[in-house]
Amino acid sequence: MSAEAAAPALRVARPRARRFTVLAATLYESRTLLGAACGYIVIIGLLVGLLLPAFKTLNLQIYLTGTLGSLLGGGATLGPNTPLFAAYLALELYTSFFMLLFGGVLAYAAGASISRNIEDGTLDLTLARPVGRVRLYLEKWAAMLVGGALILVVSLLTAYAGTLFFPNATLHWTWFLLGNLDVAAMLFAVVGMGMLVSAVTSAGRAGGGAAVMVVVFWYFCQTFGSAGDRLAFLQYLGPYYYAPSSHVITTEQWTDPWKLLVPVAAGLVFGLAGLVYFRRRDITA
Amino acid sequence: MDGAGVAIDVAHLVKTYPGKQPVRAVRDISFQVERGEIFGFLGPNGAGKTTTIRCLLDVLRPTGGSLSVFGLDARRDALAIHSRVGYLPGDVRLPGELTAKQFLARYSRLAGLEPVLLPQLRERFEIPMDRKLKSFSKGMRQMTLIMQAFMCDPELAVLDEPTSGLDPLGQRAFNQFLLEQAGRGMTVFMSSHILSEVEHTCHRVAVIREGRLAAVETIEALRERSGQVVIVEFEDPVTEAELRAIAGVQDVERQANGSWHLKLAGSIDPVIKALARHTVARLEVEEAPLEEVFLKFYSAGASEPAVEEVVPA
Repeated sequence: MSAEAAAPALRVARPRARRFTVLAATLYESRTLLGAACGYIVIIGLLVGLLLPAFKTLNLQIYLTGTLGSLLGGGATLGPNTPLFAAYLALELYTSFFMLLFGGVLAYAAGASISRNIEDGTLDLTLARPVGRVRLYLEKWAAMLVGGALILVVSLLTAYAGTLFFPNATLHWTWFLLGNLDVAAMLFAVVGMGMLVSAVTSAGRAGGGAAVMVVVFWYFCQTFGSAGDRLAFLQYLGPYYYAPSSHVITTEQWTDPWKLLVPVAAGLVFGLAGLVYFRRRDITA
Repeated sequence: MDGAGVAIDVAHLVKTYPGKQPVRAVRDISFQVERGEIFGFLGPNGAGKTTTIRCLLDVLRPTGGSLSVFGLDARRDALAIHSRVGYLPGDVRLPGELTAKQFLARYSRLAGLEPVLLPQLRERFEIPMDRKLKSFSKGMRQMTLIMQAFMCDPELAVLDEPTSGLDPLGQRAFNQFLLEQAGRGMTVFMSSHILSEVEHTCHRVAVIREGRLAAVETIEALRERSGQVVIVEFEDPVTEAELRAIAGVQDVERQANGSWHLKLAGSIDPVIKALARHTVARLEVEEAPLEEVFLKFYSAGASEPAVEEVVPA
C-alpha cells in the first residue's frame, strides 16, 4: 500500500445543509412529555372557562388568601377590576404549581437531553460528525427553550380560546401577558438548571430525575417559605419569588420588575456552567 | 514512511479514567496508520481498544500524549477531522422510533454531506428503509450503523467491532465492501474480535493488551511468526526426542492415528532433510492458524514484552 493510493480526490461526497438537526432531534425526543404538558394546560384552561358560572358563587378572596392559596403561591389580594376568569386561571395555572408541573416536565426534558444521548451512545455518533460540543449544547438548550415557549404559547392560546368560547370569560391582556412574562423567566431558569444537570450526568433518567428534584426543592422552598415569617428566606431560593406570575394577574400590579432578571440571570449562569463543563468532560456512560 | 501518507498518528497516548481508584485504560501507546490501509486493532475485552478509538474522535480526552488525523490535531481540529471521518461505535442503542431512512437522513445532515454511497450500500446490505429501527434485528441494526458510517464517503472509517451481530453472509458482504473501499483509497481503522475477518481484510494489525501495545505487524509478518505445521507418518519407528532435536521444531505431538505433528518456526529445509533419513509414508505441510499468534498476544502470560510501534519500511 502507498500514500498514492489515498487520493482524497476520489471522494465524491457533496455538501448538504446541516440545518438545526440537533435541535429538531431533541424536540422530537421530548415530544411525549411536551405534548402531555400542553394537553394538560388545555384541559385546565378549558375547565376553568367551563366552570366559571359555578366559580361565581364562591368567595375567591378567601381562597386566594387561605392556606391552600398561599401554599400554591397565589396568596394575594384580588385587584378591584380583576376579571374572574383571569383570577381563576392565575390560581389554577400560573401559581408556583405551574413551575412544579410544567417546569418539572421541562426540567426532566432538559435534564435528560444530553445525558440520554450519552447513555444510548448516540452522542458519540453525533460528536463524530463535524458538530462541535458548543453547537450541540446550544442547539439542545435552544430546543428546550422552544419547548418552554411552546408551553407558554399553548397556555396563552388556551386562555384566548376561553375568552372566545365561554360567556363572561374576559382577560386584561396587559396583566395577563406580564404574568406570562414572569412564567417565561421562571421556565428560563428551569431550563438552564436542567441543562447543567444534563451536562454533568450520563444517564437520561438520572439527569431528568435530578433536575425534577431541584424543581421540587424550589417548590417546597416557595410553599414552606410562604407559610411563615421564620421560613420566609426559603422563598428567595426558588425562581417563583422573583417571578410571581399569579400575583401579577390577580392583583394587576407589577412591582419590582427588575426581580425578573434574577431567574433569567440564574438560567444563564446555570446553562453556561453546563456548557463549560460539557466542553471539558469525557463522554462516558 | 512519508508524513503525508499518514492517516492516523498516535504518539504516547495515555488515558486514565479518574475516580477513587483511577483506571489506566491506555498506557503510553504509539502507532501510525497509513493512508489507504486497513488497519486492525485487536485485543481482549478491556484492553483499551474502544478508549483509544474514542480518544481519536475527541469523545474522550487523553490524559497524555497526542493524536493526529491527516496531520490535524484530534482535539483542536476536531471539526475538520470529523468532516472526513465515518464512525461506527461499538455500543449504541439506535433511536427506535425512527425509520432507517430517517435515521440515515439525520446523520447525513449532521455530517453536512450527501449520502452519496447510500445506493451502493443498500445493494450490499438489504434493510427495510421504511421500517422503524425498533423492529430491526441485531444484524439489521448493525447494517444500519455500517451504512451510516460509510454513506457520506469518508476518507477515514473508524469502526469499533463492525461485524458484531452480522451473519456470515453479512460479514462477507462487509469484508468485500471494505476491500473495495480501501482499493479506492479509503483508510480503515477497525477493532475486531473476529480473527478470520482481520486476517482477510487487514494489511496491518496492532495488538493491545492491558492498555499497552503488544505488537504492530503486517499480516504477512504474523503469518511468518505463526510458522508451519508438518504432519508426517513414518513406516519405520521414530522417537519423539529425535524429532524434537531437529532445528526449527518448536513442538511435537503424536496423534492417535500414529502420525506426528511438528510445529515449526523458521525454514522447513532442515526438517525435510532430517525426515528424509526415515521412510516417510505421508507428509503434509500446513500454515499454523493465525489465531494462535493472536491468542498468544492476548494472554496475560505472554512471554514477549510490550513493544512500541514497529512500522515496516
